[in-house]
Amino acid sequence: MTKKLLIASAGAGKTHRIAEQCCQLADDNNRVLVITYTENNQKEIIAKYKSMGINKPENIVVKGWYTFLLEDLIRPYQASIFSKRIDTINFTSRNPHIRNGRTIRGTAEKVGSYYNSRHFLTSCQSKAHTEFLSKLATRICSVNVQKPIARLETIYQHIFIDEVQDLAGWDFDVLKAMVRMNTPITCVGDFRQTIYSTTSNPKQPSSNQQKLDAFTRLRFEVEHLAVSRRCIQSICDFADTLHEGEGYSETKSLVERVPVEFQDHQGIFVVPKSMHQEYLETYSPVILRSSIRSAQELNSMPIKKVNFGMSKGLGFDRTFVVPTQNILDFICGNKNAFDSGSTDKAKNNFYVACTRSRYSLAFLVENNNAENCIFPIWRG
Amino acid sequence: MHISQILINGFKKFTCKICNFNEHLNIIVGDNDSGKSTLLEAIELAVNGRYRGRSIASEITPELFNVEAVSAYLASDHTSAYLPTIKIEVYLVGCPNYRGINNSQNVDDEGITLDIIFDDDLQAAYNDFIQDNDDINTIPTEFYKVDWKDFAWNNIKYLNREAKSLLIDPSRLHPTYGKSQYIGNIIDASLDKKEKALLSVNYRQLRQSFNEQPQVRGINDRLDSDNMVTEQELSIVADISGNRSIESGLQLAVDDINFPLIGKGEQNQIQIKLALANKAANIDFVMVEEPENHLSHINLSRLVSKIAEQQTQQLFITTHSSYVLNKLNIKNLCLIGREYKQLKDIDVQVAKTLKRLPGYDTLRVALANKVILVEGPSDELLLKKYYHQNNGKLPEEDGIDIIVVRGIGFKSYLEIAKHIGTQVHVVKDNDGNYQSNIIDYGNNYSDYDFISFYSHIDDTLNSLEPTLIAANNENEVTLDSFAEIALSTRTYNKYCLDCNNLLEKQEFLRNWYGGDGENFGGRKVDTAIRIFDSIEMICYPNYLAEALSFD
Repeated sequence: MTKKLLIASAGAGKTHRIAEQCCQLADDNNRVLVITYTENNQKEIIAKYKSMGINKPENIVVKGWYTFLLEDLIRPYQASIFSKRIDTINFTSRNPHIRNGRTIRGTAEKVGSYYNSRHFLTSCQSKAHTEFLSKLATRICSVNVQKPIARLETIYQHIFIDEVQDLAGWDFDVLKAMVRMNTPITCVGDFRQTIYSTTSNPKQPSSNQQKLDAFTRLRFEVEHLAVSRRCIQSICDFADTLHEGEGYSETKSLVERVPVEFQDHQGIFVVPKSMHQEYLETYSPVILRSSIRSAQELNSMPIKKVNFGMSKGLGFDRTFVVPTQNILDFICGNKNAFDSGSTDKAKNNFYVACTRSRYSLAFLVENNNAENCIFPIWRG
Repeated sequence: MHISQILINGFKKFTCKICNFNEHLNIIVGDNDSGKSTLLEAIELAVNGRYRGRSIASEITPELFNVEAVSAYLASDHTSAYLPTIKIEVYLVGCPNYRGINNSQNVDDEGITLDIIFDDDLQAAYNDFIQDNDDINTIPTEFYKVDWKDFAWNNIKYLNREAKSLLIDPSRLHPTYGKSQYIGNIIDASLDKKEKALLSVNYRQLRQSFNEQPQVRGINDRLDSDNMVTEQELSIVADISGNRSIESGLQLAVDDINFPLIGKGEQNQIQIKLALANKAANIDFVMVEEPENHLSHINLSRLVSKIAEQQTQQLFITTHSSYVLNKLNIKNLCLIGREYKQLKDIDVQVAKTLKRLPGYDTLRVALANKVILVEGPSDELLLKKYYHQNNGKLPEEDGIDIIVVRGIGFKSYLEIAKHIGTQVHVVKDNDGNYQSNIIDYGNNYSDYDFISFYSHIDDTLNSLEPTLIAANNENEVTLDSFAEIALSTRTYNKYCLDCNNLLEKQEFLRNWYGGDGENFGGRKVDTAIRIFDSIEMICYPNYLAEALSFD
């Protein structure tokens, strides 16, 4: 069986590629499962393959990660552990067993030799904590000696998992169980864009490097899709510097021609604070910011503003980034600016932000700091 | 995909019934009121979530529940724990999406569960209900819900269900089964998606153009020309809203005759053939009720050949016809009775013989509790006469079925009986060798104590007539009275003239029946009919009396 990990760079057209393969497989009478993490991405993939003139859309099943765990792995065999049907999930962004920094008593995974419903489920026993959903799936797979995996294998002829960069911890244990089946698995993701995480659990793998190592251990064949259909080459080059030395291929821009109206202002610039009004008026870029609290003086401007986290998957002609301190350090030439953080989150957010713009990327800086930056200063 | 097993609990007459099915063809037989139709309804319920063409959620009625369970509830204190429930489980092969361990046997299998159960959300309302009502005399079905899940414990939705069945029951075309619903099902199974869409679009256009006909417009112009009814424009139009009306506006026609107006037999055939053709390839299980209804022998034979040909869907056919059963291969029989039985292991040669000679009454052996197998019509007539003489009624009135085996011999019938477990008494001529033809022959069936053999032990009395003569020849008087009943007047006169003593008379009678061939066969039957019709009594050999006594 084939196990493939496709590492795409931002704007590489991975949705396009998944949809294309799905169409082909489905029309050849294969049942295909596409698992994604966000609802937006599910919609995007469905819209994409529908636009490709697919003949047998009924052969493609698109599900979210939690739905997949619940419908395909947990429920069919949950009776071996919990007798009451798990109707739905209980969305938790933190460990539900910790309140005020203390672990709630009686929430251990096992009581004697039995699995403890209070560990995995809410008190009504009909909802499962998302935090431990993968763990529950893993337990059910092992209690039932891989029956859930065998079941999966007979249903689907190919499984895609998109946005694998967002999987962590126990999710990889599920993956580990899944790679034993004969059905080919194609994982697609970009670890530089990890923003969400399906669990807050510190269980490994949690960092990008750990995750990549995990994929290698599971014998996934790695393929890099290092192109950008969105950004011009200079923006690609800059974005690549963020993860220099981490094993990613150089991104090649596939943008061949810049439309006439954008030709006079292309590339990366810094804009001194005193000039920002003028800049915004001249180029109408989309403002990218860390959160609604950054650069609040811009809030009154009638210009589209998007938080870094929400900009994933989107593309704009021009962007105007309100930098955080880390970003500022980085564009002033400090290549280790992001190394102090305990997670890759800040760095990944910045990578996403950098790769939104097709033609120009500008950074807002204090007047006295502009000279220190590695980019040309815009002076109107 | 096929159904390997069904489990029915609490639905109509079934309490904890488990039936296994054959992959391709299932011929469901059983006595009247044994639950043949109910079995098909149960499959339709579990697979399609429908009862008589409508969604079960809106069709929960007291009649669905098992009568004993209902009485138990009515006799109880009415708390919700006593409310009867219905469970139907269908085990499938070839439906991996429905795999899991959520079934009553806790096995890892593919399948569907349909439960009609008390809705826990209504507990408070139900408590009020039993408080306020002292004399509950029926099941309050308003408090029930339908739970329809696959073995993976995921909910099943009608539109994206993986398994589909089609129930063809001509007798229900009207009125319980809405006409439009029924035509809709047939159209559904016969046309592919594109064809259906084309049909719908054209139909809508046709109605649209109706509105634009000059004469229709003229009528509408005159309808409320002085605006007496309304200030706005009032008109009569063809209803073009919605998609559903396509079925209610369309009708099948045969040679330009509307479907409901053609012969019942033709209706029947067409529905079955359309369903079997299933051009849309969206039906997994086809269920047919009594295909023999309204059909002549020739047409039935054609239809049955058609049914036998089809391979793609699993078929369930109820029937009362041995012909249908034999022709479609008796090994596919599924007998519903107190116990559920199949004939999978029946001797291949016997099944083959019956396929070639489908005219024999094999179903009677399967359905009757007590069977007497005899060689010819004379044996049948005498057994009936004797029974009537002693009991004042015919044996069939006591559930004893006498079957003349004719051409295919005892073996085929006994082969069926030995798998079903029918009590069989075989009345057989000893043909001059009691040891070989009766004792040794019977030893082949020594494992089946419900099969026993009856014949005269005396090798010289090799068939029925010699045993009769022997039973009545105590003296000349008894033999004469027997001869007078058994022989025609002419022959009896000859008997009186020719014979002078008991020995001669015995000899005369022996010779009269004593050979094979057309002539002798006729004489034997004539004699039997005379004995049967006569009010006088004769003496019978003991083995006949023994054959008639079942315990």
